[in-house]
Amino acid sequence: MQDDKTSEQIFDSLVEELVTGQGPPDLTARILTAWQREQNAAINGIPGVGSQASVVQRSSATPRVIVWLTAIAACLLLGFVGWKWGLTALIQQPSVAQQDKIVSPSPSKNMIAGSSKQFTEKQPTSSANPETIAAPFDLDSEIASLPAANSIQPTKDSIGQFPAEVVAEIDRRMSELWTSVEVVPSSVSPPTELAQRISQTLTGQDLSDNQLAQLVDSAKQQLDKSTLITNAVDSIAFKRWWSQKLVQLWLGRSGQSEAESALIEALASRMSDQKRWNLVVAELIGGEISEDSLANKFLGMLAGGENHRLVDCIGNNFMNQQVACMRCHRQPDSENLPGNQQSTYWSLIALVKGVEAKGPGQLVTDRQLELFAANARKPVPSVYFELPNGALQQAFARLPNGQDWTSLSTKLPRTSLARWISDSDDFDRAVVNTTWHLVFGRPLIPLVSNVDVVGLEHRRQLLDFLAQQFNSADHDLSQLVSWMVASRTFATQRSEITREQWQGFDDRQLETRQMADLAFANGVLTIADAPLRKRLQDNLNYVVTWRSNSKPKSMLAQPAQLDTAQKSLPPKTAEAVLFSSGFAVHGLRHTVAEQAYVDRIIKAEKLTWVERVQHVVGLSSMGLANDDIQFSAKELLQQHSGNAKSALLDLMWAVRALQL
Amino acid sequence: MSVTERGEDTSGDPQLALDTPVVRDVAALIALHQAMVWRYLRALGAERDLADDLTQETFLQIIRRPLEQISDAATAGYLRRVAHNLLVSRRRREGRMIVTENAEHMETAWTKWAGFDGGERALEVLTDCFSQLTERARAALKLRFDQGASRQAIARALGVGEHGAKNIMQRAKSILKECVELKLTQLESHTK
Repeated sequence: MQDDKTSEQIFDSLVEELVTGQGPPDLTARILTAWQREQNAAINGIPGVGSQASVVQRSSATPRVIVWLTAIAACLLLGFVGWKWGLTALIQQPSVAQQDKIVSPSPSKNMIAGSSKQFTEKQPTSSANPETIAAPFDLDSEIASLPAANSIQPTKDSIGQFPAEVVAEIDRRMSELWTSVEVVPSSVSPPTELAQRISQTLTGQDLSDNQLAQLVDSAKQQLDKSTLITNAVDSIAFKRWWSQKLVQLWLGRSGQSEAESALIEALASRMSDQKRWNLVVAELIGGEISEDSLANKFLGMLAGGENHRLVDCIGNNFMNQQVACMRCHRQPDSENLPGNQQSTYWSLIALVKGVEAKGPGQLVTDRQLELFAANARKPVPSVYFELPNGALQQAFARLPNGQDWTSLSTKLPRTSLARWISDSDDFDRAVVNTTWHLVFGRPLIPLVSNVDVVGLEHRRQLLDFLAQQFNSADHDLSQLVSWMVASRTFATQRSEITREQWQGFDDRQLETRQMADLAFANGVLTIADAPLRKRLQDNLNYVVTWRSNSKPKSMLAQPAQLDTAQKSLPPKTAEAVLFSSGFAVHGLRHTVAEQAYVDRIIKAEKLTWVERVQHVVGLSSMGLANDDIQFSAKELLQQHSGNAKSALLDLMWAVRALQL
Repeated sequence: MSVTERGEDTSGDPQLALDTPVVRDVAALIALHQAMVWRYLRALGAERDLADDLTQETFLQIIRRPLEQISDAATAGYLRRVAHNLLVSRRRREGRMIVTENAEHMETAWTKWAGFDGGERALEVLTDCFSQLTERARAALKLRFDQGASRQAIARALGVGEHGAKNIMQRAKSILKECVELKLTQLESHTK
């Protein structure tokens, strides 16, 4: 059976090659270049990249003293290499004279010969005298000497670590974070509960009793996590579920329209094909536009007008950058994008200029080929934007690093952008951050760092670590999800409090609970199914209702220990507050960072009320506030009799409650 | 632009001095066997980019360690073993499995189809056999392998039900296999 399956697989691969016309590429130059690099690195101690001259010419032009020093360094390096790995005579130490002529090992008799012309064709026989036949290379010992999967001991910060090491590293770093902010994580969930949570997170489905019985050893109270996770991420359910979650996050919608469903299916299909995630995203932004194409489905949902929504989505989800703020001004806390960040934002707009969509499900129009065709008589396409001082400035289609889009030799600016993003480190960070958001209920690090600062440096370092691992795992999204779900942080049990407990908490207890939530030490938050906009709208409705209720009018601003009369809360509103673990009832529980953020917005005289609201709403990954949210925010302002700071603090609560 | 696994641009690198005996030997080895190694990795399920990377790594592994060649066939077999193990190691690191981790099974099946020339002859024969299929059978296989179309999409395109589409593809592959096996056997007997 196994042989049949294997035979079938090989035959299929030949048919595929025939039908697609995609045969083996010629890798000769690439292999030789890589080999040459290794030789140069071994001898010179530096990579042999970037030199314009040939190897022979460069050696002959090197001054003698440098050659001597290089030879000495090479000898020391080779000695170290030989001691470390027990290599014998792989590379003969070149003399200075040899170094002048050639920088490669001298050939040995047993070196590879590519054709049978140099070696006599010998067919191994079994009956000949073993003393007369040259011993063939020992296959098994050669293969045995290849690094086995479990024998590598990666260093703490090495990339390309194995799954178990990555998970252990997540746990170690989170433990350091908790220690630094002095929180104690909740205990680990019981196996059955954890199994269901893993299944729900990965596939959106519960495990049956039968499945649980196979995975959980009741006597030992142990869960076969590895099998559960492996089976789940290999399933179609995982692909569909995660495609749906990602589309909901990107678009801020429910994922239930026909156009959204088509996008979800197309993404799930890419996941099933095990296409690298960075290439999937490159296809989303820069792919071919046709009726059934992934790019058409994605761009059709977001393009339109000046394409601000599209750029916001790209920035938030694929560049790990809250770019919406940069539309109007430089973002002071942004480290990622260089230069004048307002022009960077508008350069992104220029890069997608010409992409137009009439609506979801309809064919996107892409006029970029026509707009950006090189033509001396036509001006180079650009966009105009307004600086804070009111002056107009021009932005051109430049990549986020400042280079012109043509530097990547593609036909279209959006394709250049797609390629640049998919190759960048920030893309890796963005994927890690959004994946963490979908697993744990909030992003690992906030895109606006002013407000959510608990253990931020530890979280940043963890983000960088996971981004490196994700990159070295060939951008395998399922692998990334597996690591997170296998961690101790994920296994932490969520401790809910009753209404009575909440009412009895003092300030210190509430603050401790808040810190634990912010540090991911209090279990995973379930992301509600409703889209972000609806949830924010609901929160705002609760707040407005609360404020309009005469008793207790100012509960949001009261500490826990109240007199008996004020402890009597309207039931509906009390529930709304409880679901955010109650701390938000206490306006004084706004952190110092939150209050400072609101103060800054208030002091910015040039901001209108609408823009101030936008700056608070922008703390979520939601992007722009729609008309309904702006309307509710105005109602809040009225409830507070025009006190903008108090209204914005209430709005801040509504936004923060999305994440807690 | 040619790129390595990490997206390093290998174009624009210094011109290699190809006039040395060692480099010529290595280049000849690569020229003789690289297509076979690449096809083998693809047959094992490696994606195109990964097949490129692991083909490179396979040859680098060989070049680093001096070995004595007995014959091209033996060298080819050795290269396949190295490539196989590299892919297995990679998949294990990813927590994934390939269809068979048993190199012997793979070697037997590979030799059956690809023989000792890395699959060139099998592909020529396959091209000939493919041209003899009906237009509908060819269309079904193209949709399946070239466009990755689902059975549903293939059924729609051919104007048949899903079950019909499945039958068409199964029959087409069965006919192809018989044709290829027969022609390869005939070719073998002619060369003996």
